[in-house]
Amino acid sequence: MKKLTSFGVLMLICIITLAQYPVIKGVDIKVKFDQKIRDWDGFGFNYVETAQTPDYNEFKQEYGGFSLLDENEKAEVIDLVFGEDGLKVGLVKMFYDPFHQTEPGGAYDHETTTKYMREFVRMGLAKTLEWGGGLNIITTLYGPPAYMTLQKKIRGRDMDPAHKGDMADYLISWVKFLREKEKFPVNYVSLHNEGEDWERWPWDGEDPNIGHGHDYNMYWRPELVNEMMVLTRKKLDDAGLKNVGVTPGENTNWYRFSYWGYADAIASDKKAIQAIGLITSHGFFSGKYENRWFGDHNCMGTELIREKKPELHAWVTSTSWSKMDTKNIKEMHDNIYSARVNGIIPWAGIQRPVQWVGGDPNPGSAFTVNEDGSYVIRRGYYFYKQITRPGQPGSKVCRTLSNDTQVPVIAFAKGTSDSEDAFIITNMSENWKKPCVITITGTGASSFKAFRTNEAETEKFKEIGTFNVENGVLFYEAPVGSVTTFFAQ
Amino acid sequence: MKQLFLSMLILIGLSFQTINTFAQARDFTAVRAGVYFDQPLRDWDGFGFNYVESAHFVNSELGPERTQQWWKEVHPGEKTFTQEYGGFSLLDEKEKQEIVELVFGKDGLKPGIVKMFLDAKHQTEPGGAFDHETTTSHMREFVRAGLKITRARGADLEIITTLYGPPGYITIQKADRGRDLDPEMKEDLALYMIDWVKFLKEKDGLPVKYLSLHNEGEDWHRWTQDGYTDRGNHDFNLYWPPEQVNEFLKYMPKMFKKYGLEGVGITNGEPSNWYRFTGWGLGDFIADDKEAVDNLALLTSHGFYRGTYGAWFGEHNSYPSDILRALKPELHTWVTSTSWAEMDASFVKQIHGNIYTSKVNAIIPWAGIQRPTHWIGGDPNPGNAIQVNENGNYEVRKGYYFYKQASRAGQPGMKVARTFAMNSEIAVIGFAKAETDNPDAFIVVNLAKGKKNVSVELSGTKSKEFEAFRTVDAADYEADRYKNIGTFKLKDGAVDIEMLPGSVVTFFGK
Repeated sequence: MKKLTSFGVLMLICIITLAQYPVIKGVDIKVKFDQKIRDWDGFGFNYVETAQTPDYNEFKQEYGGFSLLDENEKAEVIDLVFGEDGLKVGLVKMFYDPFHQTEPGGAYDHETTTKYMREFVRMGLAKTLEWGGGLNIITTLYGPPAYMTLQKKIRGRDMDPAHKGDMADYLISWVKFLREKEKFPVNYVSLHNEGEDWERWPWDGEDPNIGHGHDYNMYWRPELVNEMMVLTRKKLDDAGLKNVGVTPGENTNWYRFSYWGYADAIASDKKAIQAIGLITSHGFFSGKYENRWFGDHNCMGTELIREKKPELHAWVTSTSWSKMDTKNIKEMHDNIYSARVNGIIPWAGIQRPVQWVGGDPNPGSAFTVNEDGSYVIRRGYYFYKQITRPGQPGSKVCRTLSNDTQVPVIAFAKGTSDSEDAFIITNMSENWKKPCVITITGTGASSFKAFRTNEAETEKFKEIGTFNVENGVLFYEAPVGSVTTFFAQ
Repeated sequence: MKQLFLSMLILIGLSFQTINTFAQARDFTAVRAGVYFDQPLRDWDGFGFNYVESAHFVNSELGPERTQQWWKEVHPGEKTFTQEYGGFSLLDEKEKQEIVELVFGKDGLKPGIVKMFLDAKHQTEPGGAFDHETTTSHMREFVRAGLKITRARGADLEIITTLYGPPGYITIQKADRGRDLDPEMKEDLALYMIDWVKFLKEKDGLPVKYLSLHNEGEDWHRWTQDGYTDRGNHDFNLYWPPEQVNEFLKYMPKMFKKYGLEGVGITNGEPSNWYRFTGWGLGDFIADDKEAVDNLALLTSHGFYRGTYGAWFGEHNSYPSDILRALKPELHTWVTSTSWAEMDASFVKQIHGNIYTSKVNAIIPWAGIQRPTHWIGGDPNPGNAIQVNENGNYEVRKGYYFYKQASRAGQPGMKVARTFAMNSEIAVIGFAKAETDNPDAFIVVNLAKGKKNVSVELSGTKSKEFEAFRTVDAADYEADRYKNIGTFKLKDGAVDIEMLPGSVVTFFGK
């Protein structure tokens, strides 16, 4: 008897009911729960309060909109985000604006400009603890007080080197406030928000370029990032905050992190490698070369640093909601599988549009708060929920394959999370439903319960039934413009 | 008083240092960029050239409406024609010699690699006679002449030959361009490829180093559901499931040995782009099979880039190379086809993406010389270096010069050097001389519609001066075509250049 080769086996599988030719029954998908490729820290939420105002006394910016909602509405939003049946996010990002101190050694006011953001997080943390979960908070320096810049202006471009110590103290004071006063589990402090972009000021650096659209910022050269990571690490240790990690700030996209010299600078500096506690970047995607905003999902910088420190996790700390559609979930897929991250926090999840000067260039969100005090749950919420519920903290990213580029697949193994083995099938096609032949390995589940959201907005995380696994294969037909999440039963 | 004066001097000095230390390049007048010649990332095997001769089963009956329209416009009244896409058949000896010089000569592109297709018409029945000449004569003429010139200047070529598609009898459909390999014909397919390689090596004396199993054979959508071809504009192909790729990775080296081709390496075939290689799982299948990995001599893929989401989305991605190099560190990776894009700076930016993000060791663009009327339906990738017209003339297109900016800098045996640029419309590619006689070289690309000052910090090179050449494609600017723009000296460890819009400048160390 001839040896049955794997090729022969393949042909036997393909030749159905003795047909003359192999019949392709659909997209060949493989979900490998037995091939865990990365820890998953969770998806996140970002409430943005004070982002652009040059003078808080004149314009008390409150972009998140909680100030307009009554207590009942706020509780509803909190439940939708943090509740047991909500998004169940594991990560939270909190900005640190430039108005907390006005002079070197001066008193701190951590409350005035952060009231609603802190209320949101406080309520969210309570809700999360209520069902037995926990949060992991990162706080990001949006921009420093004016006195720390060479320009001595809010949103001045350049760090005044005489105030490096003041800046580190500024960071630590806020972290201590959040941890000690608010009892927030702040675990990371991030140095900047898109501070690599030196072209957001006139080149002479005179004008802070604020008041007509730009949010807070400061220019952070790679060398400054390294220096401040090392200094902040030391000051955190001195303050007894050894468990709070320092991150290198948040470049606009992974391309810039990889190819503008930031990752190289860290990788070539032993002290910076010692200091870094988490890799962070924004994950905004722009695939065309047509302008300076090109940004792919690129892991070169992360992998370069992981060569030196393999245990490092990487988080996307802002990314677009795009058109709140299937392609946005594809962006999430690519941040996970191409940029190789361990956590994702999208840009402002709740937005009050009139409060963003110039109009938010990323207007997608989970919620919109209207000026009449009502709020809207947008379809971005439901598409996001398709991935946040399976991707709980402690789960593991699993290897997936799909031989159709319009049908990307994400999978999370249960790991230590309270979720189950789960996978997400996205069909980006606007014209073609996609029959899928899903081969599943590494799970004991024999059936999966499925929930779906579609671009037609007729299904919003709608339960669509239970699908059985037979001989390791689950058959499913993905409708056009849909995302379906399957949870092991 | 003296002490106060000294203190003031120190303060003034410090403030100067402060501004310099914290400024973007040249005090915010230039994009900061850099090339670390002392940080080699990877061996570089060279850039390549591909002459495509026979690519379709020529049949005017097949195809969608637009292909039918193409037939009416380009080949009115004809039902078939003898395809010769490279166009050498139209040129006289002098013209052919000029082109071979432009490509292979000492002042030409100087590629180190050549891709040659094995089309589907070399045999018509099992065990039948091979005809390796009829459909390949012009391609082989081109390569023979190129090899001669290359060797005359003291260099050499590495040739990869790719199965474009097998004869119909090898498929289950028993039809031209049938989708599925008939398992009974496995040995016949192996012999089809082997006989071709032997022919090239023995008859033509060509240095064939690798055999590649397929050309975009991962794309199972390119047939009817029962496996037939319904569109005449499709080029040759066969569907290669990942299991079949592995089967042949393990099978072919034994056959090479049996037929005396031990020096020829087998590659995995050529998926359409790096995303498919990654996300479709093709790299994983190979990595999961130790024997396949052991036998894999070279990793190959096309590198077509598309940054918008849809069926053709294709990012630059190093995942297959990463996982396979983890198992076999010495493995090299080649892009065996990639677009000429708009034959402009964005073409060179795609080269940057393939080198730095897909982590390849060599790049061969799609058909470098084209005769447009001989691609059925019109080539979806119509950029090229040289175009042959039906009147027997040829045209050196701007793609040639943009390619030359990269190909002359990246000669075989050099090393890819780490680079950065703090503006995403500026891309920098660096090649360190390593053990070659070539100079350290780097390439600066400006994708922007405006000028950009760029200050390129250099480390690890002995050169203090760089001779620069420029190609420009921008409205209102002179169309420089690999024009020598002079010598640039290092200033404070950097080379400063004002980059014109849509330009590429290559610097060679002196």
